[in-house]
Amino acid sequence: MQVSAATFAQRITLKAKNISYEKLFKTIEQRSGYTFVYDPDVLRTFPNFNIEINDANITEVMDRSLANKPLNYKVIDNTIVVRLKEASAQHNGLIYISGKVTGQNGIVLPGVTVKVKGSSLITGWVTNAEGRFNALVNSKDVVLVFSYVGYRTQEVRIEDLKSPFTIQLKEDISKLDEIQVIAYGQTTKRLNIGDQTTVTAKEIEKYPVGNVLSVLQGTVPGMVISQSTGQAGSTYSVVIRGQNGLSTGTAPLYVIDGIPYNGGAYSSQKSNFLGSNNQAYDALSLINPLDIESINVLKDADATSIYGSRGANGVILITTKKGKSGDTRIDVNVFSGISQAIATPQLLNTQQYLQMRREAKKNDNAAILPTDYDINGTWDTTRYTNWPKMFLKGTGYNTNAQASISGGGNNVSYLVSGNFRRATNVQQLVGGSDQTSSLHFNLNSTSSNNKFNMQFTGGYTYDFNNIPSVDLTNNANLAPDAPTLYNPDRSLNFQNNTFSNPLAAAKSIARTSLTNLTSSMVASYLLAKGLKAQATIGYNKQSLNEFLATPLAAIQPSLVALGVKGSANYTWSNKSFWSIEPQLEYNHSINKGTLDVLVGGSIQKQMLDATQLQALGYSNDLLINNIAAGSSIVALGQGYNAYNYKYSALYGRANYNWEGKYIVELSGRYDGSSKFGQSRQFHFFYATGAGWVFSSENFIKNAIPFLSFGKIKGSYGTSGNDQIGTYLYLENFSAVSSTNPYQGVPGIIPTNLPNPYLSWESTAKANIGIELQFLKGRIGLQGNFFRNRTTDVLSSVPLSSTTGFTFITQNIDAKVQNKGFDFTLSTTNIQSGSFVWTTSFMISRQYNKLLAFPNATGLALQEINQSVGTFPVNRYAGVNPQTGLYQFYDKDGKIVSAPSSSGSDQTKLINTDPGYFGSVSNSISFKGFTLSFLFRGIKQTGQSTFGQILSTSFLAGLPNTNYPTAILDHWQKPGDVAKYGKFGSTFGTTLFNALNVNRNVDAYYSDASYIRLQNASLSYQFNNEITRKCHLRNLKVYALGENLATISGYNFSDPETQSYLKMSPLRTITFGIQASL
Amino acid sequence: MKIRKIYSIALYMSVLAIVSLLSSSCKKAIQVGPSLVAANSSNAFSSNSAAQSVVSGIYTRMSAGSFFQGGAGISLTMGLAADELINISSNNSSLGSFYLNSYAPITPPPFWSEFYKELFFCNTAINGISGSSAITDGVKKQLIGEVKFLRAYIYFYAVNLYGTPPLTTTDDYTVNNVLPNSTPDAIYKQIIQDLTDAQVALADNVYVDASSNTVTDRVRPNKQVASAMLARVYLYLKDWKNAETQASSVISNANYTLVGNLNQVFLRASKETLWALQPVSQLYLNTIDANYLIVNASYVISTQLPLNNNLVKAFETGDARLTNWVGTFTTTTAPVTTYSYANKYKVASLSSTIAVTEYPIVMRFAEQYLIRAEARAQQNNLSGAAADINMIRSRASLANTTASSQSDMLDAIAHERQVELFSEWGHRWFDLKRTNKLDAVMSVVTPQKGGTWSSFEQLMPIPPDDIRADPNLKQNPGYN
Repeated sequence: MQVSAATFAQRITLKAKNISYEKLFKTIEQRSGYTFVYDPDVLRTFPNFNIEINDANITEVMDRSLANKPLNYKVIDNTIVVRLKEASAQHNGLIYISGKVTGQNGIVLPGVTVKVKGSSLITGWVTNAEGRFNALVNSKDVVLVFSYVGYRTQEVRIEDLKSPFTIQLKEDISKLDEIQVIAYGQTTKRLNIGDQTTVTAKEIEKYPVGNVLSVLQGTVPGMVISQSTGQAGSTYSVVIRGQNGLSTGTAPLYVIDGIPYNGGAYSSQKSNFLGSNNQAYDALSLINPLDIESINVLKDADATSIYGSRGANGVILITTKKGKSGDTRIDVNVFSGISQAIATPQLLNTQQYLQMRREAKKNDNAAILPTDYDINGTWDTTRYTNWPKMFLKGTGYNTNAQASISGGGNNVSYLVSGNFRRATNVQQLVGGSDQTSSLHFNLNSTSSNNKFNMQFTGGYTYDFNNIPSVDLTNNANLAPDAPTLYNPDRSLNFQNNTFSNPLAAAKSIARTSLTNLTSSMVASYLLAKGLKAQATIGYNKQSLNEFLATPLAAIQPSLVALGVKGSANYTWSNKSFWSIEPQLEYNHSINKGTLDVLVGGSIQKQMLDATQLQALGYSNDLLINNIAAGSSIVALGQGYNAYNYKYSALYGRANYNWEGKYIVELSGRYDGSSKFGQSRQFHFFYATGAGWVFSSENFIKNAIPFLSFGKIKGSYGTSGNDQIGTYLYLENFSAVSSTNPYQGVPGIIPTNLPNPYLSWESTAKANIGIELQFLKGRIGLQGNFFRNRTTDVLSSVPLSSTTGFTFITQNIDAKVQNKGFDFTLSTTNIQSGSFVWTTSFMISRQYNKLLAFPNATGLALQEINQSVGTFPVNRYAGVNPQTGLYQFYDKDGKIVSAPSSSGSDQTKLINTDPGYFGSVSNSISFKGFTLSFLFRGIKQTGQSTFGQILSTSFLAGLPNTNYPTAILDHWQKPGDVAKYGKFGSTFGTTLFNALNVNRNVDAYYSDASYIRLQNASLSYQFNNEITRKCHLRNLKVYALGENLATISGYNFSDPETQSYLKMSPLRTITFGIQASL
Repeated sequence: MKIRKIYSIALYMSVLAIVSLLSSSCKKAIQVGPSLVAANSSNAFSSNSAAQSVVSGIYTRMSAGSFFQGGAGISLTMGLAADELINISSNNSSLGSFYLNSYAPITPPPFWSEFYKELFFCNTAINGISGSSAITDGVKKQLIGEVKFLRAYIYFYAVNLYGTPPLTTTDDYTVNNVLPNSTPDAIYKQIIQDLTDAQVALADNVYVDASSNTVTDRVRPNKQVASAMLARVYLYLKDWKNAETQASSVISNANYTLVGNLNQVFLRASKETLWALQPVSQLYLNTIDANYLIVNASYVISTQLPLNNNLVKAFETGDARLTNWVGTFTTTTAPVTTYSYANKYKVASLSSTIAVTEYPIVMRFAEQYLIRAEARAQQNNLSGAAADINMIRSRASLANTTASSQSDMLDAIAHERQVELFSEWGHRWFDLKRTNKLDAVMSVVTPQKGGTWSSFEQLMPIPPDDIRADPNLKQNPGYN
């Protein structure tokens, strides 16, 4: 901005660009003798302008500067009074409106959006800190729409108003008119006929977690989320409405601000520790939960079919926070707290352990071997260490700090936020921490004619993790008389090479840097009334830079003596993705209804570029960090991996809404993916849906007066799944990994059997839903019944290994069905004055069934008419009281010592799918206090105590392997009736055959249902007077707790991880403060 | 106005983009071409060097382990199954099943899937190379000859371990997925055919590399290796005459001698090597087997496999092989135990800087004398037989054989095979099996090892998953 003013005897010369009235008047005040009187709130609602005045008197200056504005002025001596013209006065066809918005109790509401009805543009006006707004409209017939989160949206015809006016918004407990984000657009809960669940920022704030999937756990009906370990960077499995296929991925499609996002995990070598199959670090942990405005989980065909081939598993739309016009606002949120691991079961003490080992030797008539260090005197047999307790002791510290600044004028708004999060390793013997820094911004600009709008949103996250890939819980079953971890001089103790010290692995070096860039631009232009063109362009990039080294310090000295050297693994991986989606949107009133039509196209490309190297031969640890200091550098695994995955589509949707009562919708998408065989790349997906808001019918209103809202909706359609590897339609040859090529010629070998006919897996989804509200929204009930049927199932068809491979990926004629329902009941139990108590209860159930599996004789790994998660097991017949051996029933019900290895005795079926699952959440607020808590429950079958103990090592009595005390109930002499068989130190044939049918015994499974107090939060919002004294808009202090208590009959280990040798999800408690300036 | 112009450009751009997407072929938008990091069937046989890489891939896989070397290799597993090695560690259950001669089909021995994987690679290579017009004739001949030899070698073990394994000569999975069991006759017919073809195609008298350059390392089969293998095959088929002929052709070749110093027999440059593999892994620059066979304190003792005392006792007094090829180790912690161990290979080290002095030897010249001795004895040429085994005995500093009758001679040869070929390639197991002595020996030895012997355990179980997937495939008797 540039202002120059010179006054010569009340003559003014002035030149300014982008100046506001306030600034202009102040400048004139300074340069002349005049004083201005005006209402700054009124003047602030006018946009900035350019002005150039040469040697003019004050009247000329005022006329020029107020030209074309609904303002007039009066000069009284040296004072100039600037005022609004009368409201009814028209100026250039524009009408000026000014008003104030309050809540029911008269509290002013800043930040209320005021829009002209029917305008599809996002921007409107926003009330300021005093709740006031000024609007210019072009016709008397215009209807203004006032909307504010948590309040009922109100519509006012301006004809009925006398400016200035005050309007009161009513608090909305029905939430019917809150905006809901849907595929390629927005609607309201009232009019939405798709089945979806929305989780807002308000909920997310209650969770002290780094990954928003933890928030969704238990809050979305029909969705099952589980975490693979409690460690930072853990992977998650997300299943919405059951497993649709047999071997395709179950991950939903993630879309952030309109751009598909590579959900799932990064490829990392920390996979054994944080996930599996080379997967670690869930990609959503790189999206800061506090930057998220809302999450919408789309489930049925109506909501997902427009995403075509990737919508079968549901779609999760993430909308990040956007800038809001108004005064500059600074928000700061800091919380900090602790995490702790949950204890594991009691294991045998030294005395019991030694007894077990000696009994095992005696049973086998076996000699004590030189390698039996735990009992042959090599180790001090009077020692006792409670290893589980030792390994899990410690506390993880979490800190999270977030600051954001937002604001803007009528045409431009912005938001910038930064976040830092740090979590230290709970296992203090291992150490390390995970640190995440992120930046998020949004810029929103609208042209002054309100026709062109552009949104630019981006985020960048950097995560650094140096926690070694060690979960000491895996070693909790060390012999209790195992030596101390440290020598007196604090060096690691290997007890003369007889002890594999688990802390050696903790000396390994891990440094993983992850970065995540998300960016999107949405530009739209109103071509004509009701016709809008829009283009969405996005680019995402996820990269991983991992260094995992095994220095000599992390290797057993005996191996070092043998010449084993240090090594370092390097992984660099970049996954980038771009997408361009042009669109046309049209809406038009036809009779009493509104027609909305959308057509668009999509071109997308995903690229992977990953390198893995290993540097070997470090004879000391000095230069372990330098790749050049190794004696050789070799490719690790594939060494280099790259692929291109392209995708294109055309889609369209038409929605017709008759008076908000009858709604019909049709959508379709023609989709192509490069993953499939040349002739099978494209497919058409479609959906149709309808809804009836029967509460709007007069006869219903009269008949059921306490029904405030009622809607029935239904949809049917198809969507697909293409979650298989790339290039599977070709026979690919890859390099055989070898450091010394055979006679100098690097070898290649075929890596798959090609299938040129690969194509989509397609899921037909049917959904019927009902939504009811009673007593003006005090009671809300929602229910959905769904049935998904998947055909052309993509499956790894088992082949005889005589083909060279054990499977081929094919579309098979199987049919998988998922059927189920979910209900949500939300009630406002008490609402009196400042005391509000609300409860929300949700329950889901889904049934999976394999309806058809032709030619199954050769591949009888699946049972028809059972869930695809069902598998057959042998029946366990207890321990033989005479021999102490485990016994089983064969198919004829006879007791045998070993079931048939062909599987013919597996006559019982086990299903580990979840049964009923759901949650109850309560929120109680009184004055400034809010207490809320959520219980989550699931009914399921999991690994029994018996299964956990025996699947670890089914022969109790082996060297250096401890057991839970449950094993004490074991067979000792003929005639004993015991739960566990006789101890043994070597694998006898019978025992070997008997229990080598690992996981295939019914007794390995039991009920593992649980109810967990997943989350609780208590906050106190300081009242206005206090905050004003502190010069704050808002001040809140709070305490959050995660995974606080578990109620379960399954009391052996954590019912979620179902293993006593794995770290369970952590318990976290944090305290925080949130302030707005 | 400027801004309006920008808007209209943006508008036209987006309309244009929609229209172009609608009109232009969507197909083009998703063209990605083949993978950047993998070859595919259209270019893997498009040149000499491409085909050489495919064959090199087969050798590399063989050398990297599984059947040919290491913990799942034939030498160790079948040494445990017979009376050669012992399993001192009780928690090594995969080796334990061999040791106890008790195979749970649910976790079947790993040979089967490895054999068919290798056979798939061989068949893919043979079909690809012979069908390619881009490969020159000389390269084609050599590579096909080598791959046919490798295929025959694998089938030899497949038929001896599994009895009636399916016979596959194609890479088409629709055919291979429904193969029935074959007969030993059919398999042996294919083996002889492949080896005869290999004799014609392979280099004579010299060892070559992939590009037919003469080299000193004996890591690819040549004509003599094919003959040596034929000699073994004829011996197993009791075709004594042909066995003798083929063995003689190798024995008369000046490239091979019995190395006088027993400690140099298993060196990389040994003249006794017929065919060895080149180590390919960074971890094991020498042989993998030595790391299991050589027992010492500094290494993790529980993965080591000492010699069975039955074998140690079988050596005659004064046998130099006992002093040179068998080592002993005494533990220092109580209870003090002394182990004998196979010490043919001397280098058991994981060091990446150690000199490469030993290659895993797959076929050894000494076996040819033993084959010919047996073939001659069976044809009642006892003096010829005696001459052959005396070659072996004299190298071991033993006096000439005293056997005078045919049956004594055959016993002497069997004994000589036991102490000469121990810990190599499961020779002991297959010798007992082909001479029908397996039941007699194992019914004594298996109980000593802590198991019980059943005759059906002469053959390995076929993986039940394969029997499920292939409706025409039958399990070996005894395994339910």
